[in-house]
Amino acid sequence: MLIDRYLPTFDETYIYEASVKATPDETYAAIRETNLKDPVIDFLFDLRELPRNVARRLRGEPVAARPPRVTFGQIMQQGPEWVVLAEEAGVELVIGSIGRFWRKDYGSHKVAQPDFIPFREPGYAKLAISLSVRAAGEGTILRYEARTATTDETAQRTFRRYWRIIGAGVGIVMRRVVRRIKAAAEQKELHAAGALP
Amino acid sequence: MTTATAAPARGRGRLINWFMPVADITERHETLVHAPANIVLDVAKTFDMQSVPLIRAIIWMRGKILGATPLPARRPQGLVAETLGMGWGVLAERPGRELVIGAVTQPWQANVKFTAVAPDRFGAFAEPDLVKIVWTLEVEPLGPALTRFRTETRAVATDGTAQRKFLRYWRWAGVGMVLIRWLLLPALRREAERRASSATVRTPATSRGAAP
Repeated sequence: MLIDRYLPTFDETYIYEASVKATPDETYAAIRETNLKDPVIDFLFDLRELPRNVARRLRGEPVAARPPRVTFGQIMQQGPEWVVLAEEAGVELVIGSIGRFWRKDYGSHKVAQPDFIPFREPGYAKLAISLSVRAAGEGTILRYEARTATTDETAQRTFRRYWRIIGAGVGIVMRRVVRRIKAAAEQKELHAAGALP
Repeated sequence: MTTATAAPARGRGRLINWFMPVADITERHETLVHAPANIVLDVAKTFDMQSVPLIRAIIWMRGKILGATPLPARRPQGLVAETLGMGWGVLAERPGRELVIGAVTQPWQANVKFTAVAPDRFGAFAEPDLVKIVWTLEVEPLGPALTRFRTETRAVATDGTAQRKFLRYWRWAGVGMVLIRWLLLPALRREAERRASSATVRTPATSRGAAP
């Protein structure tokens, strides 16, 4: 898989897969286009953002407004911290980010795509996210993986502590994302088959 | 309950793929552990999951939501021993590396029953209105004291009716599984790293004591 090229060794990975009653092409399109905004996902992100938003309010600064639409296809517009690492159209999309994610502001370190693999600066975590599809019988398997690797032992210890708090939320968000993409792809398949108006 | 089987001689792929190459849902978590692979796998197999109070609470909560009959008091026991006692069966094992456990069930039932299926029949098993579930404990040595620990769960329904019921159930019960894994993995890691470090501390003292 493409993700193996960009983060072959890692500290933690979560993988969620679901079978989808749609073609791989429809499912891949849904990966790129589905709006991931959802009450549960929004709530968990609000919870993660709470310390930063409280700090902003205490400083009298406005809290950043949520974007009306969040999709993997437009990930570069969601924030400067994301970089598209690789894409095999119709098969796999890999995006990455480097930061000190345990900080209120994620401690983002912007990197260009060619600098992601060689990045070794101590004190950071590298995150690679892979979304992929593969044909299975008459349907498709949708796969969502999030891998994190730390650049030194101090970062590893800090990341572990952070993961102890955030890991469950990450798992729940990933499940929701998979469900939303699956539902969107299956809806599209039903439209294509004429079963829905 | 079926008896444990050695890994079938079918190449080097992961054992789970032989029993369920395609699933309705797959969830896998992996973590690095600073301990030798044999210690990590031993801890994973023998760890008493319900020694973690929040895991006990999640299991209790599932029973309450579904109206399950309260279970009799349990005695502390390891993960594998406890699940085999509940009806799961060992499908395959690559000693010291990988263990695959499976069963068929109707997980949406309040008083859920797990039934083991013989490893040679598991893949083709297709009795209606059931869900086949497999889960693994796997270790991959990355160094003498560094191991990647992996646990994966896959489930597939045997027909459309079971699939609908299962996916409806999994929508909320799956959150409990996420939480259990999130609680369990650090607990396993801590215990394996504690055991590994106490083994390291003991070894030099023992060698010194044994030296002439």
